[in-house]
This record gives sequence, C-alpha cells and structure tokens, in this order.
Amino acid sequence: MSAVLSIEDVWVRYGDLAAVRSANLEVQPGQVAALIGETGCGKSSLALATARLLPANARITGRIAIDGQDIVPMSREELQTVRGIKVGFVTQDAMAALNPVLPVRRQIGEMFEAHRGRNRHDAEELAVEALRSVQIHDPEGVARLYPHQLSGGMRQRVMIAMALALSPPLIVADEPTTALDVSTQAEILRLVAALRHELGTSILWITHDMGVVAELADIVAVMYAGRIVEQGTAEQVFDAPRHPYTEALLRTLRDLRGGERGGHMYQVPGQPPSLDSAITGCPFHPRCERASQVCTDIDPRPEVSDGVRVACHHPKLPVPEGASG
Amino acid sequence: MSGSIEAVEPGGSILSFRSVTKWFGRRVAVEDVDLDLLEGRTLGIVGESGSGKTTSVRLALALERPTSGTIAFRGRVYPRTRRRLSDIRRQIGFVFQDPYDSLDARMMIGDIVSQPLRIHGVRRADAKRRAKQVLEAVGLPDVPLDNYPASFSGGGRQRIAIARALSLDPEVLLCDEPTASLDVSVQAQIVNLLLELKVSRRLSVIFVSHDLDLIRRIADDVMVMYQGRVVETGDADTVHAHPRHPYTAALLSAVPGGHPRQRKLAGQPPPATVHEGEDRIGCSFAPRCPRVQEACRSTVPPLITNEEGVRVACFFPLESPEVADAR
Repeated sequence: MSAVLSIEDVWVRYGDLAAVRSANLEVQPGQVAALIGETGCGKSSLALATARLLPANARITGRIAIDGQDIVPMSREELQTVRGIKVGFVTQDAMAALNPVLPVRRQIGEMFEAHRGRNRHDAEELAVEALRSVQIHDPEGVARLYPHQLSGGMRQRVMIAMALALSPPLIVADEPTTALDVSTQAEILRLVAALRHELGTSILWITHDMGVVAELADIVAVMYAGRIVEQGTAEQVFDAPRHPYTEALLRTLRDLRGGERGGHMYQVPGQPPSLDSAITGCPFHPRCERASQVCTDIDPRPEVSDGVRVACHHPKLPVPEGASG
Repeated sequence: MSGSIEAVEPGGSILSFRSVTKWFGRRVAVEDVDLDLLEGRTLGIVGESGSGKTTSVRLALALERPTSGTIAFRGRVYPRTRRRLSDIRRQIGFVFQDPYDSLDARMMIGDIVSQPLRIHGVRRADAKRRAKQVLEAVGLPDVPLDNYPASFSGGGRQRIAIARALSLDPEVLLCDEPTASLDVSVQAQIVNLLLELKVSRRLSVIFVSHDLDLIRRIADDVMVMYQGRVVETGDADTVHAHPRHPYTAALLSAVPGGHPRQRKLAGQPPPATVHEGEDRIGCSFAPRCPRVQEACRSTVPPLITNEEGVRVACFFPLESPEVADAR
C-alpha cells in the first residue's frame, strides 16, 4: 500500500447533480495517470477534489488519500499542510490562477516563506531556482516579470514551477496544455516527461485529448457521465479498448490521423447525458452500438480482469496472443 | 445576384488576396499575403497564435481593411464604402470558434438565424421560412424557433451558427476553428456536416485551424502562416506528407503520437525564452529555425514554387523525398 494517490468510491455532488459517481483510482509513485473525458464528464470535479479545491457548494464523499492521508474530512487548517506540500496543482488557465499584481518571484517565493520559514530574500532566490528547474532561460529576468508579461507557454511553466516548488509527491494538472499552441504544448509535454524522470513525481493529468494521453500516460482512466468506465495501462487501453466509449475515442483519433481526405469522419451519434437528471441503465447505452436490453435497465458495475477495470455489459475482450482471426 | 460580378470559370479563384498587408499600430499582423480560394475547394489556413490567420479571416470578411494590397471576390476588388460591400458580404458566410460567444444568449434561435436575411432586406415572413430551411439543412429540423441558445449543447450551438452563416445562401463559407472548442465526439459530427454542406450547397470553404491533422483530413489546399506571412502553401496531402518549410516540419513534429509505443515528444525541450518585440529584417522563423544561416537573418525569403507545385518561403528548405531517397 504505497500508492501516492488513492481514490475510493468518491462522489462529488452539487445539490442534486452528481458530477462524479463512485470514482476509484490509484496512482503509484512516479506514475503518470491520465484522466480522459469530454466536457461535463466530471473529470475536472474529480481533479479539483484531489486538492480539495472544489467550490463551497460541492459535497465530496468517499476517500481521497494522498501519501496515505485521507483529505476528505480535513479542516481548512489541516489542508494547509497538504496543498503545495503533498499535492501541487496546475490549471488550464494560468492567468486566472496567478496573482496579477505580484511578480513571479513573489508568487513562488511566498510558498517558501509560508511553508519553509524562509525570509523574503532567500525565498525569492529559491523561486529563481524553481524557475531554472523548469528550464526557463534567464530565470532571474522572468522572476521580475508580472503574469501578464508572460506568454501562455511561459505562464504554464511558471505554474509548473510553483506546483513543484515544495517537491510534493503528487501533481494534479487540469488540462494544462489545452489553451496552448501545438508547438508550445509539445514543449510542455517534453518538459513534463523530463521532469518526471528526474524527480519521480506522480502526476494526475486531466485531458480530453487522446494524443496527449498516448504521449504521456502510464495508466489511463476514461470518464463518461461521472463514472470511470475503463481503466488500465496506456498500452492495454490503446491496444485493446474494452469499453465502447474508449473504442470510439480511439477511432476518432485514428480517423483524424489516417482517414481519407474529404471522407466522412467516424462519429459517435448523439450527446453525453446531462448529469442533473437520473440515469437509468448504462449512461452510454443511447449512443452505443453494442447496447442490449440489459444496458437500458441495469447500470454495469466495474469488473476487473487482467488488471483492466471496465464498466460494461458487453466489453470487447482482447484476442489472446497467438490466436488467429 | 448583382450583374456587375464577373463570371469565373470553374476552378477559378473566388476569393483572392494580392500582396495584402495589415498593420495595427506599429505591429504588422499580416504581411504581403497572396491567397486564392478556388471554386468548389476547401482551403485550410494553419497557424499558431500571432500567425495572422484570424486577421486574414477578418480581412476576407471585410471587417478589417488592408493597409496595402487588394482583396477581390470573383475578380471584383472590395469596394471602400460600407453600402457597396454588402453585395460581397452576403456571399461570404462565417462561423466562429466559440459557439458560446458567437450566439447572443438573449436572442431566439429563429432571430439569430434570420438576422442576416433581415439585415439584407428580406421580409420577416420570408426570413422565417428561410430560417426553418437552413436549420433543417444543418440537422435541426424540428427545433422551435423561439428557443434560446442556452438550451443547446456546444455542438447544437455550432449547428445554429452554421445555419446563420448559410441563411443568405453564400458561395463561400469561412470557418475560424469551428470545432476547436467542441468535444472530440462532437467535432466529427460538425466536420461531417460541413463536408456534406460543401457538396450540397456548392460551397467554397476556408477552414482556419491550428490542427494540421484536421486540415489534412478536410482541405484540398493548405496555407501555413507564421508571424503574419505565408511560409508554405500547396496541396494539403503533399505538404502534410513531406513538409519543406522548417516551420511546417516543426508543427507536424509537435503533434503527439497516436500510441504509447510511438511517443514523439521525449527528450529535453528547448529552454523557454522571453520573446522581445524584435524588429525583424529577415525570415521571421530564423530565431527558432534549426536550419538557419546568415542569409535568413538579413533577407525575407520569397515564396518559390518547387517541383511538387508547392510554394515555400525558405532559402534552405527540406529536401524532396526523391532527393532524400537517392542518398
């Protein structure tokens, strides 16, 4: 039992709306876990829950243990010993997350003052080191700048530097590259790949992009309508997706990359269900080509085989090695 | 249709830019751009932030006026008066990136879709009938015209935006990243709709995107822009299969691989540097270019047509596959 992050039967509710419905996920030391899903599937709520950053009207139940400590029942004071120290957070919108009136060296420096008891001068020097560690050229110069003076990619690096400043064992990154250009995204992905090897930090990476998952993840959790519908190693999931929704996401990616010019793209009909109404049966059944009566009636429970956890009445099991056809 | 518009032979240029430059204050957003949208084809414009792709769209829509150069629709140069522009504007429908921003939340669907018709003087009853027709064409046959955008998802909203763009039955459809803010499963639905409409309504399409894969999938021709200039343009498959400009190559290599066993983005990233607003004399890609030489820093490379019919603005382009194979 040495998981850095252990999520057990977690629900996140906003009033009557259940955004996350019984999520289970474990991230081991040094692992990158990708949580993939589309708008409204609950992935951001789950990400925010792992740092207890949800808005005040949200209710969390279940267990979220970071380094063995359950953060769900923690008071505001207790959380001060977790945020930044046990878990660093990187958001999509760095501009909103950074304080616009503080130069970069103060934003990062404050963490060393508050948590490491450093004086202001030392803290700001440590901030420069933090910037250097995310391979910012001229960290002294950047430390003096304000957030609005930085490009999108640079702001994201500053956020990563802040998240890593106190060397937490876990980083939660909520779509950190979604708003960036392709080449800036590539730089950030390269940076994260390099940092995880250097530092051995575990990462929970939230995304809607299967390409990013392919590039970065050791394990993948696919979310749909508040549930994790499939979970396994990246290779297992990409080689043999078992849940029809995972299969659909991968087909979309492959069609985009390899499909014929001008030809119809593979599409999943319909829309995801809205989460403010009760869902009967499997939430994917109205869009699913494998759906049968049992799917309309009964919500499938997640089952584990060969280390893959899948919630589907008709999972596609991989063809055993050596078998033909 | 106005009689003053010259007929263009099939395959001719419907919308063209000639040496178009646009300055905003002391910053040049688009510089010396030539563009041809050929009849019945889809032209993809690819670029990252600051590439000038959005300004190019706004120029084509006559929402901005070029500082120098000319823009023409079917050979007719854009007039300088607002009133006379309206003939051209009704021939160009447009769809923006974010269907949450681009639809007025306080307007009913019927009014949103018929607004362009009303502006162009169509009577209310006729406009309403047209609105129903285009909504049907975009896959929303039974939608009540008195609904508000709030009752639609992102994909539904983008269908409404497309219906509005088509309400005047334009010849050209201009799309600025129309699927970028949509979920992948919805993106395919919208792309398929655009592919169908292009054929059924005989549209010529400009599709702006930062996604070279998507452009390759749907566009006939591609134009790659970097910092306001066209760096490479030609047949979309050819450019995608063997990019010649180092920037196009860099863009393609920045796309994540498709499988955990085919990772492309390992290795150390280049250090991030703060870009000053440097005055550029030579090639704008020179500061980032792995193939840079002295000439690149002093002279802007012109677009030159290569043996594959692709135009490339680079003094030291990547080799053609034949030359590379011969080694």
